[in-house]
Order: sequence, then C-alpha cells, then structure tokens
Amino acid sequence: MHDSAIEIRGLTKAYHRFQLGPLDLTVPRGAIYALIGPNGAGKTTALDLILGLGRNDAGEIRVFGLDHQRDGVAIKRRVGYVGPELNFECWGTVGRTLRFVRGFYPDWDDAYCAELMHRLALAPGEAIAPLSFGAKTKLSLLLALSHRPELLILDEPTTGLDAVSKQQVFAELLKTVEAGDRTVLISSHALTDLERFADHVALIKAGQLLLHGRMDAVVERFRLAEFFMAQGQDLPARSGLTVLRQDGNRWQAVLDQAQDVPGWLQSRGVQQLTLTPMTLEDLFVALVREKEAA
Amino acid sequence: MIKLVWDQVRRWWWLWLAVGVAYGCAVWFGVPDKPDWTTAFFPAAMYVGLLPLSQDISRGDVLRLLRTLPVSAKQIGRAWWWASVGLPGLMLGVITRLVFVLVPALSHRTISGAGCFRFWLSNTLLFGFMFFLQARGPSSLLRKDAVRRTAGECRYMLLFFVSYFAVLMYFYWLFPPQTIRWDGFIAAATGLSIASWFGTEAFARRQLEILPTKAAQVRAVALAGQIAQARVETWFKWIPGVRNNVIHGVAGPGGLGLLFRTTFYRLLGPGLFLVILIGLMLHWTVPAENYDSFFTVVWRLLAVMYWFAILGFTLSGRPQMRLLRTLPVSSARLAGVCVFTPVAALLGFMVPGGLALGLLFGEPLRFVLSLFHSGCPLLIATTTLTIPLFLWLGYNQVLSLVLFLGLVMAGGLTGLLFQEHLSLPVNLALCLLLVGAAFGLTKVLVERSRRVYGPRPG
Repeated sequence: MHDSAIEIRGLTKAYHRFQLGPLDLTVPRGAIYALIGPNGAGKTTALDLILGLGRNDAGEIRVFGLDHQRDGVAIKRRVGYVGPELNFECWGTVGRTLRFVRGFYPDWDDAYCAELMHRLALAPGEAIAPLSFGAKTKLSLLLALSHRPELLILDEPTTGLDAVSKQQVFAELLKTVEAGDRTVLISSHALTDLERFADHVALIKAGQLLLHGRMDAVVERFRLAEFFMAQGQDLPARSGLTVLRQDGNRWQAVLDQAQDVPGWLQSRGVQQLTLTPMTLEDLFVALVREKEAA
Repeated sequence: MIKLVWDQVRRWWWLWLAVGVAYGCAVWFGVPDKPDWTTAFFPAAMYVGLLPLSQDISRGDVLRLLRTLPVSAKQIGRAWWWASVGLPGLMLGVITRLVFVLVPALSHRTISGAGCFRFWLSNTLLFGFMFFLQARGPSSLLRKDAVRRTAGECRYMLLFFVSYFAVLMYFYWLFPPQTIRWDGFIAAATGLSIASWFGTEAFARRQLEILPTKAAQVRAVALAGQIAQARVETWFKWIPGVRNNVIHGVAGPGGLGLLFRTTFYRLLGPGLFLVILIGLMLHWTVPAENYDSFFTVVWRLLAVMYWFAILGFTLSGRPQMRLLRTLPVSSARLAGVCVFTPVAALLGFMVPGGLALGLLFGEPLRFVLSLFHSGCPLLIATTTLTIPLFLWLGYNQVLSLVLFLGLVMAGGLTGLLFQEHLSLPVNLALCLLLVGAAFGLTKVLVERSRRVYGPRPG
C-alpha cells in the first residue's frame, strides 16, 4: 500500500499564455492537503490533470500508485470530486441526479447517502434549478461523498457560501477524514478555514510551486518583523525578506526564518526588531507579493 | 433604431452569407432541372431573419444589455421587425432580381418574371407571418420561464418541420397561383405581416420584462425530457421493480444506461410526429407509383432533420461534459455514447418508422429498403461529424441551421453522385470511415479540449 495518495513528478502543461510546472508534489495518505494560490495560478489545471481531465505535456502523476491516464477509470472509482463548475440541472431533481451518478459507483452506500442527505438538508424530490448556490455545492458534496471515496478532490468548494454553509462543508470534510484512511486535496481561498482544518499546504503562483509542507511548520517558518533603521539607510533586496511597508525609518517586513534573515538584519544594524507569528492569509499575501516583486 | 438593426446585421452577417450561398447553390443546381425554378422554394431563407432574433431572445445576453441602453421598447421592437422581416425581404428581392437577370444571360434560359415576383412576395410575406408567430404566439405570453422556453422550442421545431414540408413541397400545390386560394394566402399573410409590425412594441416590452436565465435554458430541455420520461415510465408501471423507480426517483438503474434511456424517451414524441406526418402526406398527396421516389427524397431529408432534433434534445440538455469526465467512465466509452447514442436513436426511429409505414401501405420492407437505397447510411455517417463540432462549439439553433443546410446539400450530393456509383463494400467502408473519424475526433476532444470538458482559466 502506498504511503502517498498522490505523487506528482515534473508535471508540465502549457497553454497559450500560461504554463503549469514543472511541478513536484506529494500528498500523503490521510491528510487534508490545501492547495492555495491567487486566481489563475494553475490550481484548477493541476486538479484537472490529477483527475485525468486533459493531458499533461510532460511528467508523471500517480494516484494510489496508479497512472492517472492509463488507470483513469479505476482512479475515479476511488475519488470524489467537487467543483464549482459542475452542473446537474439537466437531471431536473436531486433524486434523478443521485440515480444517474450512483450508477457509476459499485461501492455506493445508500444508507450513508440518506444520512448525508438529511444532514445537508436535501430531499430527493427537490428541483435542482431553484436550489441556492450553497445547496448546489452541498449536492455536489453529497454525490462526491456517498460512494465513500478514498480521495476527495475539492476545487474551491466554499466559494460563494455563507459562513454557516462553509463551516458545515468543513465539518463534513473533517468527519470524512476522521472516519477512515481518507485523503482530501482542497483548493480554496478560505485561508482562515484552511489554516484551521488542513494539515498540509502548498502555495502555487503562475504555475510554479512556491512553498509546501506541513501547515504548522510553514506558518511557524515565517514571521512578521517590525524594526527601525537609521534615516536614509536602505535595505538591499534578498530572498526570504519581503518588505511590506516603510514609514520613515520604521519598517514592516515578512521574514523567512529558515534563511536566517533575522541574523542578516541584525548585522545590517536594524534596531528594536520584533517578530510576531503570522496567519496563513498574511503569509499568502506576502509571498505572492514577493514573487511579483522578484 | 438604425443602430440596433445595424448591430443585428453586424453580428449575424455570416449567417446571412451562409444562407445566401446555400440559396444561390440551390438555384444554380435547381434551374437546369426545372421549367420554372420559382416553384422550388428554399425555405432556409425564411429563417435568416427570425432565427438570430430567436437566438438573441433565448440567450438573454443581448436583452440584458438592451435594457440598460437609452432606447425605448418601441424602437427595439421595430428594429427587430426590420432585421427579421424588412431587411431579409429586401435582400431576397435583390437576390431574386439578380437571378432573374443573370440566369438567362448565363444559361440562355428564360425565367418567368411573374414567377420571380410570386416567389419573392410569398417568401417575404412568410417572414412577416413567422415574425407574427414569434411575437404573438402563445408561448411568448407564458410567464413561467422554463415552460415558456419549452413551448418556444416545441413551436420552433413544429414550425421547422411543418414549414419545411409544407413550404418546400406543397406550397404551390396548396396555393396555386392565380387562384382564390393564392389570393387568400396573400391577403392573410399580408394582414399578419402588417399586424406583426403593430405588435412589435408589446413584444419587445414582454421580452425585456421576462429575461431568461442561463438555468432556464437547460431546464427547458430537461423539463420536456422529464415530461416524456414520466409518461413513458408510467406505461411500464406494471413491470415489477419499475413502480419503485417511478415513485422514488432515486432507485433503479442509473449511469450511462439512464442517459441512454432518457435520450430515447425524449425522442419518442418528435419521432412519432414525423412518422404520422409522412403517413398523412403519403395518404393524401403521393400517388402509389411515386412512393419510392418520394421516399428517396423524404427519407434523406428526414434523416437530417431528425438528426438535428436528436442533437437538440441530447446535446442542449445533455449532462455537462465536465461532470461526465469526473465520473469513472473512460473517454472512449464517453465518446462512444456521444456518437452512437444519436446514431442508434436515428436508426431506432427510421427503421421501425419505415416498417410501420410499410405495414400501413402494404409492403412491410419496401420503405426500410428504400432507406438504404436512397443514400441514408452514407448521409447518417456524414452527420456524425457534426457531433465533435457541436461538442467543441456548443449546441445552438443557428449552428444547427447552417449544418442542416450543408448536410441537406451533402445528402443530395451523396445520393446523386456517390450512392449509385459505389459498390456496397465501398459504401460500407466509407460509412465506417466517417463514423470512425467522428468517434476519434470526439474522443480526442473529450480527452484534451478544455472547451469541451470545462473551459476555465487557471
């Protein structure tokens, strides 16, 4: 049995004005893995390729040790997918949609489906067209979870949801992971929630992986620094240092502790250096800016 | 108002051009065989004005924009009338005049001026008549979005099928020139055309008030399918196990089988309608000795028409390709479903339909055999190439019409040029090659095209 749910090696995919990769990523089994990045970073492209939607130009993707193209059908039987672009309206009602999708999964669990339907406040006779955006996302989640997939791929499942629905979606995800050896790969802009629920994170920008690792280690690695420098003195640009603001001789910056930036700053004569922990959201904004500046 | 008309022309000039070319070809190929070419109607011209308008209204995007612009409903309605009736009428007049001048000069044939005028007048009045139906038809008065859309789709199909046969084949038979019936038609069509002008403001106001939603477009087709599905399922309620499916909806076999069955249920109504229509036409208008030649033409036309009905029902209301691609089904199987479901639906209509008509008219196998002798297999194989095109560009009525025209011409050509000169093995090999090409293209698109499996940046 493989330790990793997903292994990506040297993945590239080029479009007219965009290239993803080369990308290397490992998603461990049983993890909630967050894939974050600004709009157009390549998150959906990466998730699509993992699921076998589209062909990669180079590289390898293995899901549970299986090749994502050759064993596409076997992989999809073990995977649940939720995405904002899925449309079920042609089936008319929740019940008919369930009936259609259920036909593809031999492991479909009717009892679990009924339980989830109750928890997500959906009914088989309900028409899909008038459902709210949140209810449609819940239907998508219901369809993805009812066959008890080993891997859940969620592409921005909380976009457009209110706070209560968002919490409900994350609560269901937690229950799913707790229930067994299941893995969740989630792309989302709800960074505050991800910081709480996910245990791994990867940051992707313009098709390149900027950062990845365990959530706590990643957040712990960076610090928000405030310090003073002598009037007129400037700091040269270097990796691991992102200046957020300069107000006279007062500076605010994000430091990468793994690159010993605090020591470097001390050697430059900065005064009153204070370091405070950052949230994932602060870090995201700072790192995306850093890359842009570079 | 002029700007709105100009906008309509600028956005749809290619359709007008396509119809113009098709019309020109039909005249060019039609003239040598006919003593008076004007008896051969080319009804595609009728749709050139109405179809873009119908498309704009059903999409809703143009209406949303128009609502924000400083133009009155009266101006919008009149612009629509000019774009749908006035301009096509004028253009048809110019083309007819050109044919009147050019054909005798180039081919030393004489063309009846009165015939030309009759052709132009009857077509132009039909533009007005169809605009009247669009503006004042019962479905335009329905308030509920999905029901209105469904009624609109049905009305469009009805108009298309009936008008094609009625106008192309029976117009001059129904309304012989210089008779009271002809005068009656001219009077009625003129009255309705004039009435359509006066209804423009109310028509535009209604459309601006009831904006269609994107969801309604899918819902309308789904609604029609569900109605058909529900009725068909109730017929089989006595079979053990089916009752549960009807009641609960969730239970019962799903997957691609459900998709396949749904497609067939949706097509039962239109298929039955066409078979009855042909039966009535045979009974009333075709002498027994002409059955075979009638079928040579009609089955080919029917094959193409029904093909687009199938695609209209299956593609516009199809489960989204992105959803299907996320399910555990291989791209080859998915491509197979996309290509072979419509082919099976077409054959499932044409063979039993031909058998039923054959039984009614005395010789059970006669019409089925004529299906194979009239170039239908090659034509059906050609039509499968429209599937990857629709998947790539998205299904819409305008593209359907353009492809329809192309396929009608291709159907004529396959029948006239190839069918009789090709041996059966070559014919079958050609069919297999075409269907194989459609399958291969569809598979590649389903696997690789982001336009097909979900166009999203990033």
